[in-house]
Amino acid sequence: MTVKVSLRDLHLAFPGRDGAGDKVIYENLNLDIDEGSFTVLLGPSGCGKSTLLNITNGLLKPTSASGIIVDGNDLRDQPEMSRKMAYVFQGARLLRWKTLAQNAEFGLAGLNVQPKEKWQGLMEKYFSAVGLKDYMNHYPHQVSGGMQQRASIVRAWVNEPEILLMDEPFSHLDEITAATMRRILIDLWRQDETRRTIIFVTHDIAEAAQMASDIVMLTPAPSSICYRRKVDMPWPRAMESDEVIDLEKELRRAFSEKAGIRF
Amino acid sequence: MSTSAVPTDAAAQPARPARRALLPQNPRARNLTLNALPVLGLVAVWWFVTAFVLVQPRLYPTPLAVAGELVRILSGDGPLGSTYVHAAATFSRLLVAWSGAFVIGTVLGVIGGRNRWFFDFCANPVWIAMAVPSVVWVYIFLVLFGIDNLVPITALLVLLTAPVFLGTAEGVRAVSPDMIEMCDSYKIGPIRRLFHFYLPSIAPYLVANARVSFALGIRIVIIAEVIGLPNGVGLLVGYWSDSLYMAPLVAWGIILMLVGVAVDHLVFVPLQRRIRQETVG
Repeated sequence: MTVKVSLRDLHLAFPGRDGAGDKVIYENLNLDIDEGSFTVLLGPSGCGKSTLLNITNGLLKPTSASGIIVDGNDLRDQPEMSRKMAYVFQGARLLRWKTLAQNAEFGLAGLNVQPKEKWQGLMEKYFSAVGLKDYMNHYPHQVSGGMQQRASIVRAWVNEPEILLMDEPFSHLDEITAATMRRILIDLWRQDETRRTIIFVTHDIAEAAQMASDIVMLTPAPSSICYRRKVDMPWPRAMESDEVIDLEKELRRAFSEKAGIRF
Repeated sequence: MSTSAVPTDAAAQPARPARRALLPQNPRARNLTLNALPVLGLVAVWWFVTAFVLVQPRLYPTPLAVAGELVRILSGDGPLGSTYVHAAATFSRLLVAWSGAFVIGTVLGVIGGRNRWFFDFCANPVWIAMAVPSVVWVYIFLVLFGIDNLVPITALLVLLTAPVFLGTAEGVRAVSPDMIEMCDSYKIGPIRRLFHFYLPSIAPYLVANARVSFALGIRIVIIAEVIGLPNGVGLLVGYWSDSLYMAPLVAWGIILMLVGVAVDHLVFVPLQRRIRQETVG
């Protein structure tokens, strides 16, 4: 499989406060993400999962790295590589003075998706896919939190990005809404003609087991990859299926043995 | 037990209609009454003092004398030509300078809010503009430009840009870093970011800036006209002040106050209410 994103010898440290030593997040971290994979970065809070997304998107510069490679090009030399990506955040982060459709347009304009004539078609396609076609002209405060998060997924997906960065997008939602959202996301990903590369951050083991094609487990900071597992179970995966439950158990065991985290 | 409760209720009930009778039931009418009562009280005190205590109509005009002057001003009659021509001169100066100061202050404020270095660079000039009294600025510009329209306009630009800059910078600093990160991740360019993100984000600050600077602007433009301009409301105010005739002076004060209140209630308050509704949802 082709490598889509490659982070080489990543080192990141934040200066300590009041004379304290530097807070080291990564020391020589290496990570390859396969093209078209649904890679889940799994780890405890504070291990730098979201930071990895920010570095991949060029929002944050690492202390040092021998490469932040996207499609064979170093992002630092060719920042336009980050236009191949779209980001879904923990919160919806919608502009409250714009309708859901205008929020999607805001992303399209920023990433300069061409031609402009196809924007309307793209928006209708993806708003329909997430069940929000009738709410396109509503303002964020007129819809529920789950609908807002769906709209933020559309804002990202409508750009038809090659890489989708998702930072715990369902962690703020109640479990019933989150389960629906997971199904919608997997359907979107599987139905698209071009299988996009998704890098999905979560600290929820069950969520990782249900969605991932590739699981990367990180230790607490300074983070390293302590366990990696390709998953070739078909979708949709029922949370209560034996395979998913077995995978969850395996991941918990790996956390205990490799990262020293007890459950 | 029940017998003790009955007299209490019965005693409480007659008090309610008596309280209601003082103020109208309709909320709008009640608000209007509550707003008008202190003003009416003030006019009553003014009338009493000028009619019975300080009985010098030229220096201490009665409310009736001032009302007469108000009618005269509104009819356009004035010692130095039509009052409307002077009012137009004053308000055109105010509008031009206030708009300029608002735009300049907002743009600089957005930059200052995002860039600490730029904010620090501007901090001392802004402080000087705000700390030095407006009269001093007017004299400085009189020396620089002579008796010219440039004097009030420049004074207003200098004095109004400063608070607008500070208010805007504060608003930009209060913008959520998460939302800025969202803009960064979607590669939103500077122009789109300014008009579609920063300005709507800081809209409540902008309206507050507009209100404060407009009210300040009225005061400054009058001072500039009193000191050294051949026309405008300030010239009339100076004329009556030199004549030691206070009734028209007070009348002009009331007109300026009413203009400020009208602009505030007809433009800024509805704007702020709309923004608040959009913000809260």
